[in-house]
Amino acid sequence: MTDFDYSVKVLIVGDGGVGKTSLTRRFATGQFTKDYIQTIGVNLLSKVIEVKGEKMMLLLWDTGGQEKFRNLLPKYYEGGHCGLVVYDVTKPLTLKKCVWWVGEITKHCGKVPLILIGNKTDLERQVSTEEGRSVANSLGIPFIETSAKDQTNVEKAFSLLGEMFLENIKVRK
Amino acid sequence: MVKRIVDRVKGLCKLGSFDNPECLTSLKNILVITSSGLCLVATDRESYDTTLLAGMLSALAHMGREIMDSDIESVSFKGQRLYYMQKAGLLFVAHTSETLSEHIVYRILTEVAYTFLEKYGDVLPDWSGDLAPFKEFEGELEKYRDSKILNDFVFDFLFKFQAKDLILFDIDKGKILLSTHPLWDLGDYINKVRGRLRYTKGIKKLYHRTGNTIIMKNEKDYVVNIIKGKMCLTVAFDQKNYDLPSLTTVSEEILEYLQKNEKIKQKGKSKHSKLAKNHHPKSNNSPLLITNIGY
Repeated sequence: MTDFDYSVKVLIVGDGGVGKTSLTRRFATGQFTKDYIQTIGVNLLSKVIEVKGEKMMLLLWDTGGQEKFRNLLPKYYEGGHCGLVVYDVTKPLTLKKCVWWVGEITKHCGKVPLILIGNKTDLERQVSTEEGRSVANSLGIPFIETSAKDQTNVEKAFSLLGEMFLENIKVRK
Repeated sequence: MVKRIVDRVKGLCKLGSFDNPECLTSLKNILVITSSGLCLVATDRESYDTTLLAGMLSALAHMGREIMDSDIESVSFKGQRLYYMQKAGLLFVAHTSETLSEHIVYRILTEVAYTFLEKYGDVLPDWSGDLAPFKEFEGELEKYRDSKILNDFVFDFLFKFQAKDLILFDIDKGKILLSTHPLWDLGDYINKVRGRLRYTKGIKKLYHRTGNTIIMKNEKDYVVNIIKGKMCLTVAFDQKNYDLPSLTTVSEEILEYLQKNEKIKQKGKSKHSKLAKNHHPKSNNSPLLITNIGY
């Protein structure tokens, strides 16, 4: 029998190299890999979390950000319940692309809970916190800055996502 | 008449292999997965992470359609298989050992699919991630891992071939390994078949012969003799149930199934082996296991 009440499909999207895999792996396994590993299509990881007394199994779909995977991504988005849209604070262009990524998720999954994530805060940033927050506000979604390397706000991001998922279910009911 | 056929074939299955522990582990898991990759139901969530497996299988299915323009039907691992069935936007997956027949698996998956969709068809379109509605069904799925239920599917599988008689024997030694026919009738028959198989030049009057398959017919029946290695399988079919092209395929399937499920075993002396010795002088020194259910 299941040891959790909900099964949640979480999409992790963003340009290649922003740290989606490191972020996901840090959350699910507690490990951080220094080397940049090219994602082939999708990585799958899972973790059970408890939010407001509800246990949920998060199935994390860490999708490939490279152009070559763009045709496959819509298939992987199907049925997504919520997601993290990730950019790299050392690369301003990746923040600008987040608008497109949010559009993609909305197009394929509808209006599902999303969080804008500014990753790699342990490095010398080129994007300020205010700039990130401004984009998030324009998209109408929450904003969190993280570092997969030193674990800053990683748990917080996924916990918030879990709360938003539960809230979304209540609203839909 | 029909009951006699059914009883004959069912009796064929009353061999040790269906009661042994290996049979119980042949069906390892049944999963119901959404096309988005979430596992709604699984009979075994302890042996491995079914959530991850569900995601992987869903991603594989998507990739298969995108790249190969075709649906996945099964995935093979060493000694194990995963069988897919797609219905109503869901994936019904069976994790089995490699020895479990594909026909049985798909029969089980079909039954699971219809039962599940009948019960939850209304819930699925608006499903939000809550697993509570499906927990009861996991308990219902457990029954498919029960050996008796599995045996019933196996009986049906063999019955579906509508075999009237079935004899498996060792060509070289003339030993009968398996038989649905009374033994006292078989001695001459076996010798004739062996003779025909060896002296193929004489086989001019036979109805059909290709490779290692010989098909004979009388007014009502086809009798198929198929050889693989040193085994010869003779199966009698009612002509009205089959056309000629499908007979070889079916017979090969039966033979493969019997071999895979280790139906042929060497055992100590039994009353049947004494009977066999009386009619097969050449086999006096070799013990036999014969399943003879007669009439």
